[in-house]
Amino acid sequence: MELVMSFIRAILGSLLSLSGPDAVRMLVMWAIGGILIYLAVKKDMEPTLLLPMGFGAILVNLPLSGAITQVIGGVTEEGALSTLFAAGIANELFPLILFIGIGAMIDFGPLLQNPKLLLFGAAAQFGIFFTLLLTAAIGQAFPGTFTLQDAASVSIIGAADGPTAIFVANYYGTKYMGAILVAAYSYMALVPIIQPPCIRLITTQKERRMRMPYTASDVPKSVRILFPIAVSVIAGLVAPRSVSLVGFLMFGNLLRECGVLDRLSETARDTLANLVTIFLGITVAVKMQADLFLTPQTILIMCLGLFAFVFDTIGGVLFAKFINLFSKNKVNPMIGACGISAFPMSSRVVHKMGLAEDNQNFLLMHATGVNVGGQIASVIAGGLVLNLIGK
Amino acid sequence: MVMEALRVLVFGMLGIFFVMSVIMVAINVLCALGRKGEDS
Repeated sequence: MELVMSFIRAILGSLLSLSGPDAVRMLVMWAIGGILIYLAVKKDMEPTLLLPMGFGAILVNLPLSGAITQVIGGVTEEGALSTLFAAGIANELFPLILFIGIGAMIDFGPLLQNPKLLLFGAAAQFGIFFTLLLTAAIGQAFPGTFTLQDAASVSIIGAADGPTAIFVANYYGTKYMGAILVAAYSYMALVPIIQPPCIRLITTQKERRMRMPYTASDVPKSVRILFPIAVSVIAGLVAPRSVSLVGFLMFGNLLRECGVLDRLSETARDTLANLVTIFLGITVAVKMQADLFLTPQTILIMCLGLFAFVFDTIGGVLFAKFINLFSKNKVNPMIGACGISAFPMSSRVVHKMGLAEDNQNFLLMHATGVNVGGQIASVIAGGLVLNLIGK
Repeated sequence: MVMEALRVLVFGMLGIFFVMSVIMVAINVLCALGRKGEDS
């Protein structure tokens, strides 16, 4: 009997270490991990991040999981995911390297042909700052929920940009990183569901049917090369803490546009981006341990993240309507919604909405220009938040 | 905390419009110089 008990303790020791509530939390996190994997595989929702995050959530929520650093009997046992977290996320490296790959993927041509589209990108970051205000108000009304730094981290969900969200959340050392990233990536995938009702709410059918003729024009190669350098310098002078974020994105773009580094450009946008994405997704799950994730604040963060996306959309569209009051060449206000950094989904959503209203109205190139402008704006917004709110 | 967040909202939105406006002007200047260079 003693032998049997000893055998059971040896084999099932980790399960026996769990209390009842711990076991329930473990099962809930397994379910959440399973839901993320389901959404990735069956619904094709941001599978590159949701699948690794979902699987990682299961791994880190196994009792005494060897994937994360544990102190067992006074002895510290390093876990692989904790080591990866320290190596690539705690020091901001993974999101920055991923940005090189993203920069190498983006064609800023539509934006360079019509630079005023940048302003729509700026307007569509309104959701970030408005959510910051709302989260701070909640933090003030209910002490202990959110600090100002937590509010800054939550608001950056509105950047609709994974690396920026990871960078800012990690900079402030918020304990809500897991919830923030699940919210950010889920809502990025849900842009086709979130944006159309918001756009319809604040535009008339006449406005949605407005045509925007497009004339392609050549952008000189010198401009394509100087653009990433200029953006890095300008953004860096205004918001020094954004230099690594903006700089790495623009470095990737410079690799693409210089024309003499095709192999590096291809490596950056394919192999490098894929490699880092694999590590990033599963490593971020370190922040999805039950005691960090299963808090009332997680539900609040999910709501606030949705709020950020909604007000990004509303901010962009209202700005476009405001511009139309003074502009001779009217713009279809729907393109303002593309200033959200969810590239290329947002531009496709608006293009489809335009065609649905008028099947001869092709908004894609204008929408794409605003969308890539939003990519720059979201990174700069992240940098400004870092500059304006200290650690 | 709310007053601080309000300050960030105002400065942040002004800041981002400022930066994007400067980038917009820079692109226009670069395009003009680039086209002039190609013509000559």
